[in-house]
Amino acid sequence: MSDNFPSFTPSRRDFLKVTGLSAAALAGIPALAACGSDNENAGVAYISQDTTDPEIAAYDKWNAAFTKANDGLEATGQHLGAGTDFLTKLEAGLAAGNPPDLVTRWFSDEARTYWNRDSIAPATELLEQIAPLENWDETAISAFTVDGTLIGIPLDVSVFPFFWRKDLLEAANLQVPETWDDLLTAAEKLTVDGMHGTVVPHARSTQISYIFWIMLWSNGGCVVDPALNVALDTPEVVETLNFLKELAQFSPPGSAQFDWGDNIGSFVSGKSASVLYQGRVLANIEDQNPDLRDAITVGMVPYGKQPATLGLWSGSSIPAAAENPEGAEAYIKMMHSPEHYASWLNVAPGHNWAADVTMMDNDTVQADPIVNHYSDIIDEIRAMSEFARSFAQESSDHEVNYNAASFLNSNVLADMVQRVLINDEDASSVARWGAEQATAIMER
Amino acid sequence: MGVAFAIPTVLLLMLLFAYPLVSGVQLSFQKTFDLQGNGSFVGLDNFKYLFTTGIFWDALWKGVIWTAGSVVLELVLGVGAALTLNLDFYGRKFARAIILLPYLAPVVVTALIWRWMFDVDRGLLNELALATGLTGQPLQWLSQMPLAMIAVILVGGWHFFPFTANAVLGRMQSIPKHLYEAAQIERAGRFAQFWDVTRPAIAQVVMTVLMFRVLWAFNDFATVYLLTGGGPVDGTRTLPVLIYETGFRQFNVGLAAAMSVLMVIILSVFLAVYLRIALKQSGGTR
Repeated sequence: MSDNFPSFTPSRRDFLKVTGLSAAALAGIPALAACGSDNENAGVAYISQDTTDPEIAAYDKWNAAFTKANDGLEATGQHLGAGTDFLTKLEAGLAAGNPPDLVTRWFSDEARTYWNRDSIAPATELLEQIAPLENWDETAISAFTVDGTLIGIPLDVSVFPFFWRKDLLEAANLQVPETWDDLLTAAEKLTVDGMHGTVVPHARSTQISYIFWIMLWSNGGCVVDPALNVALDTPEVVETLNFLKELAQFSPPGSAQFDWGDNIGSFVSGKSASVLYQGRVLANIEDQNPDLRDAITVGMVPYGKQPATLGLWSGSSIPAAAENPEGAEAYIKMMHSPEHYASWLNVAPGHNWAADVTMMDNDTVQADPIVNHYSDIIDEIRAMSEFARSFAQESSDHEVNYNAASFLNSNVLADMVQRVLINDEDASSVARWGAEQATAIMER
Repeated sequence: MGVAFAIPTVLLLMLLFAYPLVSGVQLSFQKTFDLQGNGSFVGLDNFKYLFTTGIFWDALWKGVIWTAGSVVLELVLGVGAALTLNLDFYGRKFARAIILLPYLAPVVVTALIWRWMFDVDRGLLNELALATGLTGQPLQWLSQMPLAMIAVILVGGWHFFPFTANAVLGRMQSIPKHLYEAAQIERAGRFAQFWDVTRPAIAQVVMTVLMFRVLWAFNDFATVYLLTGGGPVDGTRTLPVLIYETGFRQFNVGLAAAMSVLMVIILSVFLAVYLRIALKQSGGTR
């Protein structure tokens, strides 16, 4: 083969040319990388978990207002969705020494994990500059506080209620179920004529992990005990797995592939008579199926042994290595100005409510048609925060579990549910398996 | 002078290839739960864990099934399509162009389309199966084993068979016509012509395609992950999916790096075996 190659004897000039071009190319790589840097104009670069169109539209307004108020300083962001992509982006930025200036609307559990790794700057002083401490929801402040230090500015609070079709319950002469037994009875009775009593989405995702975890709490169990030892090999876990299996009989076909969107969609489209989801259900009904607007009601998550639900506290934190922390602080302050805060709360009314409780009386917030129409439901959902727990601190007796987010994302809980619901494995052995997996993750 | 010429290339390769590789190997000996290098040296602990818990072997086996299934399907469909497209028929040029479409579609789009087709409630495949009486109730394509594995293999085979078809067709078009004429004079039938003329001619191309497709399929993350997420449970959790989950969901970076190192070794062994066979077949001249 080599005989076929044309002969080529490079001259000194050729050598210098090639070397020069290669050196220029090598030098160009960092230059190109710098061109793509988020911080090239010393603006504010943020990452966010918000990805819906109305949420991104709210950010666009914030960004425009920020630029206007700060002499053309630009705010640019990436909307990465909750969980994996978001955390991966953050990890990559931290590893490269080039984190975003601002992390917006992440969960307090995630903030705690990164605080524990010294990646987050304290925010105590900033909070006081925004609003006096007495204005804030205590649970939100508590969720974003570690050892007396605030690690982010809470923006909103959300809990998981159980939505029901009021019209179907009344037609079946049923009350809003309070216990697991009530739930099974109602789900069975309401599964008629193409309607399904409830929805148990169990695709391999965080959706079923959330549902399992909430149900476990309501059955008196926890993933870890107060001293952070894994507590998955327990009768409460076995009962919860078996309960979900029983309940899944009344869920639509294909539920084994249902994720977050399918879960809420099943209820909003009228395919299921109940759903465990956040308040976004209200906005989606208004938008997608307004025929149901007067046909729904809400209740606590039905319990096995005790009422419990999940609370999610979202807020904004500034990475310790942020290039422009002052700009990030200015952006957070702008987010919390009444005008911008109110418009944010109206993106999905009932889904999130203000961590600064004084904002709930804001005229713009109150004037929202969804807030008006569903005020009773929203009040009920807000009242449920009394029973809200967090993944990172499953009770007030618990130490903070800095591995909670990793555990949640590991899909161990989803796998446990799938093993019982799909593979028909014995719940006791699955609980043992789950405990082993969880122990490996917690031992860090 | 020759060495000097190679220096820029070597530097560039080191920058783009060697550094990440060395970093990966280094990470595999560490216990680290972030990408910032905050880890401690644990020697071979990560590898011991992988060899003793079964998690690695299970994912490896799933990967072998997925790779073998999808590559065999690709080869069968691809060679079949190439044979068909090599015939003279009206619209042949159009058919040659249209057959590339599955390969041109981005994996995300492919996965979404097939997810709809596999849907329990509204999926085309279930509609067909129910309408033709093949099944009495909808099949849980993506949430029951072994259906989920069959489904991802079907999608993999469908998505990539045009690559094989195109490569084989290219080779078939360069087979001198007189060989077929000579075979016909010898009264060779269609099958004999294929076996004695076409098969030896395309063998090398098929082997090359086989090597590339095995490497790509074994490394394929997107097709499997977008269709099943590695589920149900861990039914379709191949090595790339396991590595992703370990590294980027649990942030167990050291363990994920150890799996990646093992995966590189496995693929290197495959490549070495392949090259050895290829060299043998070509009489050691290449």
